[in-house]
Amino acid sequence: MAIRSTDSIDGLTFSGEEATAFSATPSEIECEVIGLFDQFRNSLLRYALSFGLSVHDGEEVTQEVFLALFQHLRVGKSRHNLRAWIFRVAHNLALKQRQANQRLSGGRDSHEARAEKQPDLAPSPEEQVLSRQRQQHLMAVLQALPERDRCCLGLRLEGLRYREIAPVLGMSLGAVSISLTRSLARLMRANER
Amino acid sequence: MLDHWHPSDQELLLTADGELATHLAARIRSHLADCWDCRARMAEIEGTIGDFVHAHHQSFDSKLPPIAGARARLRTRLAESVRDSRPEGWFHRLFEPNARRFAYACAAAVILALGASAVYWQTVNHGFDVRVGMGLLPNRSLTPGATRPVAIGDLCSANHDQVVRSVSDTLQQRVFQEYGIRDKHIEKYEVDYLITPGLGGANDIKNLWPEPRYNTRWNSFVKDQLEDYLHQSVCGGKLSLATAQRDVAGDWISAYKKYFHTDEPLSRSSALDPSHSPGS
Repeated sequence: MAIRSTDSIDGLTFSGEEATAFSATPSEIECEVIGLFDQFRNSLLRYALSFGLSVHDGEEVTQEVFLALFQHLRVGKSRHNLRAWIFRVAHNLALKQRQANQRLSGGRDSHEARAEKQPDLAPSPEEQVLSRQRQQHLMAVLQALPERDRCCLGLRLEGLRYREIAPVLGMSLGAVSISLTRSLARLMRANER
Repeated sequence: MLDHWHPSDQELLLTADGELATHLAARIRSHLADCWDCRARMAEIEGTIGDFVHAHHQSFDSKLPPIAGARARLRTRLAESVRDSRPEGWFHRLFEPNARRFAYACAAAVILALGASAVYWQTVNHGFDVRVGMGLLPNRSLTPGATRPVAIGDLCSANHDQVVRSVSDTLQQRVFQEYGIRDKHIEKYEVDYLITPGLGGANDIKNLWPEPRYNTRWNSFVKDQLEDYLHQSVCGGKLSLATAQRDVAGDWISAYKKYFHTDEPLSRSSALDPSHSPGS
């Protein structure tokens, strides 16, 4: 394959690289974590909601991500590619939360649950009806994608590069590229209708 | 002048995302300057991305509560976390970062020393290639390599990555079974061609083996660099196809070191940089 990768693909393995600010105090780390929270909170929350979680659960997942990040930095673990690390933790926590919700609701089919939780669009003027229908159609296509494709698209939409998406989802760079192309083809077909 | 080749949607998307190797991206951009059909297709792709991003934000952004409350809650929880985890006494200090790092370093040194001794002993006494045991090179008896009859003109009529075909799921399962890799570990491996189809390799189980994706320096991405280079060299008339096949099938890591004049894998970008001429 000829996909470019300027960074190590296993950027999420924590061996080898140590924190540059190993002796940072808890309050310094706290400031850093809050800064990252401001930067990534909306992206992470959107990503968590794309798993069909409620806003409350999504917020909880987001909080847990940054608490985990705080501990991660406190014990001097790697700062390499923190964005990918943050999304990887969010991905795992969102999956866990969804499984817990499914258990509580008696194991309903995840598609069914997702369909129920499809986001409502805000009321729009009549002249925007067509545009709104198209948006709903695109979101329905998104929900119908296989989970891995949906996650891949969601992570790309939140600004992650292929080399960051690959370790979050445990895929190769080539598989990320194929997944995105496949999803885009479906969205294009939906857009044509 | 227009040629007969048109980039696929995947290549157009890779170009738009800035994920393609420099020389391929330049070729596609040059093609787009010539070809209105492909430019229209690129515009469709970009348009769909724009519509999707808009729809996604419309759907979710209105649901996001203001950040201030969430930030305040996080601050409180972080403060609680610091208070609750404050270490006390000498026993806790053993687990403080610096002490623990020292302990890890000692343990790692002992493990490395033992490992190096074992490798040396195996190599000296049994001629055992530890790289096979680590999966970096295929097991010769299972994967000796296999080629198909092919004309160089056919191989070189397309880029290397266009010639490479994906391995069917059934064949991948057979390879994993042959190598005794269980289901829960398969995502750590890429079933790769020993001799890539771009160099005339056959889609045959004797030419396939599970190659580690990550966690090793000599992984499948590094082998891709060598394959790209060999394909370019064969098509550029700098290397015979038979030599390229023999080198990659024999010991691809040694071949990489030989062609790239390095003992360490290069970053992908520097290996594909046209200004970098490994063979010179």
